Amino acid sequence: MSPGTGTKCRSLAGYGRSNEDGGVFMSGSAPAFMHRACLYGSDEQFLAMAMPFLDEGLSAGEPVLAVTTPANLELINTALGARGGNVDYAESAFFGRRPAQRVAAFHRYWKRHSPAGHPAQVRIVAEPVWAGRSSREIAAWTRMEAALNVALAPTTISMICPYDRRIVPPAILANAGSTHPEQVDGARSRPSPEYSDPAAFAAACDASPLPDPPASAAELQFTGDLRGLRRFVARRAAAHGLTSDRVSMLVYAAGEVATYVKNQPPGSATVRVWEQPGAVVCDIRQMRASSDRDPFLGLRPAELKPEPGDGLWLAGQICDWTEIRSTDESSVIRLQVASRHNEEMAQPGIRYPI
Amino acid sequence: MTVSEYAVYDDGVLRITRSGSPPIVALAGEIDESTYPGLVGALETAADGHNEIHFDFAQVAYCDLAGLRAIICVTGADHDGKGSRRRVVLHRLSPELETVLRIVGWDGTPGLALNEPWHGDQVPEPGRLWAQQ
Repeated sequence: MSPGTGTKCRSLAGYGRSNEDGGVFMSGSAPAFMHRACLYGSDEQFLAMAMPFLDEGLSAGEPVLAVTTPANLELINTALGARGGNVDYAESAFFGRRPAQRVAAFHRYWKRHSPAGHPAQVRIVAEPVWAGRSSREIAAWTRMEAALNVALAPTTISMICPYDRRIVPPAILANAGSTHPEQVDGARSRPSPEYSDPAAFAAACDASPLPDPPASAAELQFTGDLRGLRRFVARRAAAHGLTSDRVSMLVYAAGEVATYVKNQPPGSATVRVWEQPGAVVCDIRQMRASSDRDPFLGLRPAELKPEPGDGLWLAGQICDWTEIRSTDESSVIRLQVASRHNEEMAQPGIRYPI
Repeated sequence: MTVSEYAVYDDGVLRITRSGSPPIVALAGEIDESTYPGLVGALETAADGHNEIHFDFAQVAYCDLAGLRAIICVTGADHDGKGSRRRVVLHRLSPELETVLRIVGWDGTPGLALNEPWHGDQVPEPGRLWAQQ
């Protein structure tokens, strides 16, 4: 496929609002977040989706970002030739290590291209890594796919998430239909009949309880003394061998969570800190808290205009894991950072999460 | 030279002093929900009538997101993207607090500058400000 007018026309035919397959993207239509999955089974099928999508963006002068495997990046570059130099790119594994950072990375890219008050049409091919993930990670990344529909709703990003049928397990492929309002095949898009309400989908992901804290965990009854809580977390994190900079970052995360919790009736909580293989964990647990919490609280990046989830968002950026579970009996926010045994942290130029 | 300095807020946890012109506001202690009202009041007093203001974070042990936001907003950048009205310079942020600022992306706020050299008559008294470095 060669770039040029012919390609642009063909891709427009595939994505235009009037397209009978239900495609909705076309330059000039009201910009909105669009989130589509593409289940591909070969390099050719990947390119049949990626090329018209990227090429149309390049022709329109739009920012275009490809986040995918090194192999797929090479396919794109070869197919685009010299025009590939205008494609922003990232290897999936390094563009937001955890779901919280991935959402922030997407948002950051969009915002960078959207000067104040002028939201830009931005295109992103975003292929998550699925191979080698734990079941906990698969659940978190699948939840993120659902959450993107809410978290990025205020943006004007047009996103296609490719899923490689050659290596992705069937259960994950099936969820792609539930988490994307549309599916793409080549240049054609159609509504996804399996698409689920994001909040309901996230609630199902959150149904399994977290493992109980160990009996040996250090414990603090938090009744609103934020300074006392910060000192407790700092002392315990240092006792578990975290370096002082990482102790400070965990304290920033825990401090924000505690500020949030303090303002949620009953306002008190039990705070526990422990070490488990590979991790230092800080668990903040309220009894008899309201369970009707917005499941996506803390997913939208903090702005200068304050929102209730800002502190939780920051905690999510700092920590390796931020997990929230709410039932009628209790509401738990659990933060996890890497332990002193993590050798990645011993390398120069480490990045967050800590 | 020694510039006159006076406390604009002090509750035992957070102490805020102001000196010089353009004003240097030295923050010392911890900024969280409990000291936030004091901070906001002090910011209004200190910034009033000035189009440039400096903050010294050398003795800030902790500053939460809300406190950081209040200080950034002294620029006026929160007024519906209408642009900055005041220049705000943050000095001697801890590396961790600077990381927080960069994660949130507020380091790019119009009117905000980080870690600029002090002006000639702004050099803080070393005995006080460097003591806890």
